[in-house]
Amino acid sequence: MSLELITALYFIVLFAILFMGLPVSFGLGGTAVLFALIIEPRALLSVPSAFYSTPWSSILVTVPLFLFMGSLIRFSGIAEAAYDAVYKLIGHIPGGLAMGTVQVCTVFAAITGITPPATTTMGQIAYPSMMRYNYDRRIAIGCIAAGGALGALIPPSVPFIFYGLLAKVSIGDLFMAGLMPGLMLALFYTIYIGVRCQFQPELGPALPSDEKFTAGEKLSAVLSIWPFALLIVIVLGVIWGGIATPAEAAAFGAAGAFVINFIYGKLTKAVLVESLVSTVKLSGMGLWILIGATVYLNVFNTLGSQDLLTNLVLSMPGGSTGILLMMMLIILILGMVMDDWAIILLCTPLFIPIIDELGIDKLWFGALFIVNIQIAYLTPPFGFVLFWIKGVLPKDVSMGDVYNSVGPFVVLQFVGLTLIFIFPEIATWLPNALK
Amino acid sequence: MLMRGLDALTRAISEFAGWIGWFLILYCMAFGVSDVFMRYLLNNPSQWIGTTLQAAMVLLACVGGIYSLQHDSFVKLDLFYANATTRKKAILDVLTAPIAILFLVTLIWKGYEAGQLSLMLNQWTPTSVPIPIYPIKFAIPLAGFFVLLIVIKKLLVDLQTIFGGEPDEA
Amino acid sequence: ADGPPDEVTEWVFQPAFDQTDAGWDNGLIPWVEAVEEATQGTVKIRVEPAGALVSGAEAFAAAAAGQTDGYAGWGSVYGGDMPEGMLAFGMAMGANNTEEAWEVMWGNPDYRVGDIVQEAAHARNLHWAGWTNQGPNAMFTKFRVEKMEDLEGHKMRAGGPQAIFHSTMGGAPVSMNGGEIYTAIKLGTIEGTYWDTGGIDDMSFQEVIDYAIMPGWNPAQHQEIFINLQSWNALTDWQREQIDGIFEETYFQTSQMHADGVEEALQILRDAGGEVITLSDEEVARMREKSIAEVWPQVAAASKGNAKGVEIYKKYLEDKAAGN
Ligand code: NA
Ligand code: NA
Repeated sequence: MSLELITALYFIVLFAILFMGLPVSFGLGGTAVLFALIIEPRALLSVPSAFYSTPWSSILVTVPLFLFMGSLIRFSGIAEAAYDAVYKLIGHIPGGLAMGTVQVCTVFAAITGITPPATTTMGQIAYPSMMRYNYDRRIAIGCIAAGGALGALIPPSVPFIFYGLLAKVSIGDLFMAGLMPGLMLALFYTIYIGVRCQFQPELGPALPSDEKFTAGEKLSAVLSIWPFALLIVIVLGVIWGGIATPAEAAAFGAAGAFVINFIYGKLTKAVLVESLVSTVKLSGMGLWILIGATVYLNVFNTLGSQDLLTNLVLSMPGGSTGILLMMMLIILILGMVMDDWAIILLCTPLFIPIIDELGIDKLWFGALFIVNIQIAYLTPPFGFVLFWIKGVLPKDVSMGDVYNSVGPFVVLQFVGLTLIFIFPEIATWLPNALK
Repeated sequence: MLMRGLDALTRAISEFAGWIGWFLILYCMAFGVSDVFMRYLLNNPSQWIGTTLQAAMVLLACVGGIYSLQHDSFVKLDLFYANATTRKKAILDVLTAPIAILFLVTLIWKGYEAGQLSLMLNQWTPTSVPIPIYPIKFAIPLAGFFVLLIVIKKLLVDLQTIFGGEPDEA
Repeated sequence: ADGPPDEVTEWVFQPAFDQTDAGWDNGLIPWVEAVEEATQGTVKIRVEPAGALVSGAEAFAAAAAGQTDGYAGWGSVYGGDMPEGMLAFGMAMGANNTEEAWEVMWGNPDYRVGDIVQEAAHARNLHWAGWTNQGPNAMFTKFRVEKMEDLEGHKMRAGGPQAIFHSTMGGAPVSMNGGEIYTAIKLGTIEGTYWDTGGIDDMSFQEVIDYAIMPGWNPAQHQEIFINLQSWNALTDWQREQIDGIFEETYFQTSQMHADGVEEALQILRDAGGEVITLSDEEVARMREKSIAEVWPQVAAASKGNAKGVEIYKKYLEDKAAGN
């Protein structure tokens, strides 16, 4: 059997199994095991190895810690207070709550280097609130998913660190290169929601006209978010002040939420238990998908399929533009089945020598790469943000509902990607100006 | 009888696993913060906290997987699946279960081998305060075994749904 | 049994590092090419980067278990799997250069520390087949260091044996992943790091540090290549002889390549406005004395083989001081 056929089957079997409703982690791991058994049995050892080494990561410690923080915040009532402030300030604008969600996600993105924290926190807080005000489900889920994905683009960013080390690009420069594209996308999402809801107010109804708030009410609503602001200052402060690593900052965030709940008298046993339960559940679910994705990647490499990618890229006509487009396409397609770090690990070493050869700016390419990864987070069937969001939404929300919600936001991501492609300065101006 | 026993067993195991998970999360929070205090206030950075946090993550994957699956929190691509009847869902589950079992049996089998190898190599972390790795490695096949029990229990429930003649409901 | 067999053996190697590491182009790949040439194409080796088949930290065990046919890495990485790797990696303030390291490890029948490492490798189902000196594993700091007291109280990223050295010198070692070091130095979470000199530009450290302190804590940091024992035994005698035959030659050849890489990296640092400080002979001697007294015993305590190896190392230094 040819390598092309084996690789194609490797993808097809996975999709078939996943669509039959097997949990994603089992589907990834089981498909990998099946192919390893038939073609290269010694690769089976990568199953326990991936189970051990994937969670053995200091950056992944941020996942349970931010989940825990998010869950505690949810019970403290301060997240509702923050949301209430957004509501009172811009609730009179159609789609205001969804726009506010994007803003809060943007702030979250500046604290975390990965996507789950904002996604899961806002999924738990913003979604029920938007449902209460009769928002369209698609707008509600879509803005959380798109906002959550910003976590990896706006610094700090774990994907940028992975890429920077493999591509030998300054991580500090990459962080700065991600800032403008991240803010640009956040702006796009906000404008889109605002414009769309202006024309179709039923998607994001403005608050009823009898609900009017005085300036004083608005001010006090804003002031009531001080613990939320404090939490952000603590977490951002310890990272950007050089006091702690991102993993330690997540511990500070969780501990901060712990203390805030205590101050608010909300640190009851029930709250603590409920927060811990949901953190264990979601971490377990997420880590098993990550482990499955690692096994899937390891077997993919054992099959020798990565050579196919290099050949595909080099066979592309149209000079450096053609090659770049092919690379973007490959990242997108892999994004359907693989986790972000797996794609970076697989593609960066294959692509960077070609990028070097063509004399393309690796900083710019890095920004394109990570924006692309952002799209991969949101594109069905396999998008990590989609899984996390599905994990926290009520049981009556199906994966199909989630898929249906992301379309317009994915289109906006493509617009952003195209703009950065045509105007590299969007990414490269800030890091170069700071040098 | 078998069904009831299996049900009680997996329930007890997953509750215990969940409880360990709570402890691990609180550990990561408390020691992540103390690490910073030791570094800044005492100028005496710990050489072991970081490593134990990573070890805690592996154990969290072990116990979190058990707890999460028991509570039906494993995410599925239920695009078509969501609209299927209970009976059709059960049929789909029975058809795909071998793939899950294949993965878990490999995790147990190869995980046990990896644990033995780790013991043979007497693996410790290559850190200045070394921590033994083999106990963590042996926790992996053990977790795989408990997850397999839950998968088998769910499989038995599905078989009951298919062959037990229960009314077909949406 | 002389001459190449008809059959071509295909191997898959996965080292503990990826293409970004100096050990890829200057250590492993030249060795792979030498093996393929020496065996007249009857052994072909595909090299996968760390993470492709297993993680870097698991790569040694994967080769021992036969998931891969071979491994390359440092004793400071797999030291937890095989303490004797520390001897092959190089001791704190141990050998000064390639020639000294070769002499104590293989070159002089009076010492032959290499035999201890080979025995330990065989006990773990591996065969030690390649070696290279990557040059100094040094200190890269934001503060001046001219004597060991200058390290006192300074927070530096140091892992495993580096941490033992750093705390012995009075410093405060901080453990963190390679990927976090750059940002941590830039922000001031730590004041520097220990690293292999040829690799500092790979990590863009020249952007965030001011000083390179030569020869660091280990003037000759080594990397090793191991082959799975079953894969090794499946070769013909002729093939094994050919591969053993290139051990010394590739050692000196790749060590020279690394030495050139070290010069390049230091020049990149100077061009970025950094300063290279070379410790005086007296200061190195002081540090060596303290290392032998306080760091080496910790290596010796890890296994019987290490205890023996450390003794031989000491004897070698004594003999050298006596002018033999
Ligand atoms: Na971020
Ligand atoms: Na995707």
